[in-house]
Amino acid sequence: MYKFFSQTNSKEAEMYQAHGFSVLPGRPAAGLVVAAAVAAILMSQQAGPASADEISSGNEDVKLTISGQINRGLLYADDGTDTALLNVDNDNSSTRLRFEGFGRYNEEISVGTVFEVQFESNSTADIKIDGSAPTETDNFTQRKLEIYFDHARYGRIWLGQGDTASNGTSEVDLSGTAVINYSGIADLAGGIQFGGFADPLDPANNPQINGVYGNIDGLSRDDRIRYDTPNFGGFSLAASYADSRKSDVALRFAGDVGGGFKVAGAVAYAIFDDIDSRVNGSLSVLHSSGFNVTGAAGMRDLQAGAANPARDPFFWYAKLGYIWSGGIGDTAFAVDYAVAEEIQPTIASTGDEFTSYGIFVVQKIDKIATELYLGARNHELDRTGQNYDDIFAVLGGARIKF
Amino acid sequence: MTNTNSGQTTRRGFKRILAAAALAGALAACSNVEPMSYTPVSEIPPGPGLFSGEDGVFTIYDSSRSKDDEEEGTEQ
Repeated sequence: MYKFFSQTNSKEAEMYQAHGFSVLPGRPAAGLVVAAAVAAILMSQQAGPASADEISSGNEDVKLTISGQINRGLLYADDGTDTALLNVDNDNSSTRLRFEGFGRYNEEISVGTVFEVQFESNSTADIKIDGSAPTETDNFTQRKLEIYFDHARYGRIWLGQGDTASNGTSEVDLSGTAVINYSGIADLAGGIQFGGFADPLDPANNPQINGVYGNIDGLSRDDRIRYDTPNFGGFSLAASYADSRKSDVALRFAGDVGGGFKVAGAVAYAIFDDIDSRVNGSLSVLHSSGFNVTGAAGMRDLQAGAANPARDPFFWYAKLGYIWSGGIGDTAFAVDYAVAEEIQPTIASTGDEFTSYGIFVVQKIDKIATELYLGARNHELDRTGQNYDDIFAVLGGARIKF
Repeated sequence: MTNTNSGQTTRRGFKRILAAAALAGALAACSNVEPMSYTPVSEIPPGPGLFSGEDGVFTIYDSSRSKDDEEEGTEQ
């Protein structure tokens, strides 16, 4: 618990009191306005821990926490015609803020709330080589707005905006380098467009990296209802149903299997409105020596009614890494290779083959909760009848968890 | 450039990957597995924070801590 010194907002205090909290005069009510909360957190750190009666609740067995991170970097991009050095927010793990609430009903049953938003200025998934970021909003955007009910023996039910059962099943990764590269390789420079050749069908909009590569990671985040079984020997099963007739099921595993090996993996099946079914999975193995290997793959089966159903979207991804533990924190190295076919849903994209490879290093500095990262990646696109230049990108920066 | 044969080849490869994953899972299920926690790569990583310290989160309110504080106060 922490002490807050900003002026009390009476409306906010009333709102908080209406939800069962007691607010002492002259104290703010743990800001629901996220920006105010950040300021309050930083101020509270300067003041040191507060006594227990600074903020109190009429309910027993409840807890409210705030966490977040800032992840900023510099992106160098070369599309074969132009080059640029861009200030970016690293979309591999965006800048964000999270409020999490927890309440216990009895020894077996509990409830929880998650409110998580991101705020990206110049997202690497969006920014163009000219520095514009066409889909950017100068505001928070939703990641998770959900509640859950948990039973120790029967599992957990989620309701709201959050991970569908299949989200993340293409992205299991134990390499320690995911802040700069994982199977979602388009997060590094996804908005950069291939140049050197004007698309005759749409010359103003040459394909961009995240248009021709995707890791077919299930159904992403959505407004859904989801059920997770309890963990059985490292295994868990999940299923969810989201708006627009989307449903999925996923099996996950994470465990120490002996012999110095840690293994994590997932497979999923998802279907979207009966016209787009997806099968995907990933597996990552980490040995106590530090060597690790990660793979992922996925495919979609498109039916009539889907965009360009003649396509057979498919991807696979492989990574080899090494983690050296010691010094100021773990140092992780990795090289990877990715292939994607016919991802973009336009007529022109039939026959697309995208390949990419890269090299990466992440240095943790434990004492200041910081990860420094640097990575370089080349992107190639073969499209029938067209000859785009490769895109080369280098991203360096830091993620600081606050 | 993609052609039909390479597409069929990659799909066969994909099925092998799925089979290998299923086999690995089955082997893991039969062995002496110790479950571990795994944080998805897209999430805020576990561990300490620069300002929040060892917990990695700012605890705005925790009723169990309040109880502890009250008990300590009573003892004093």
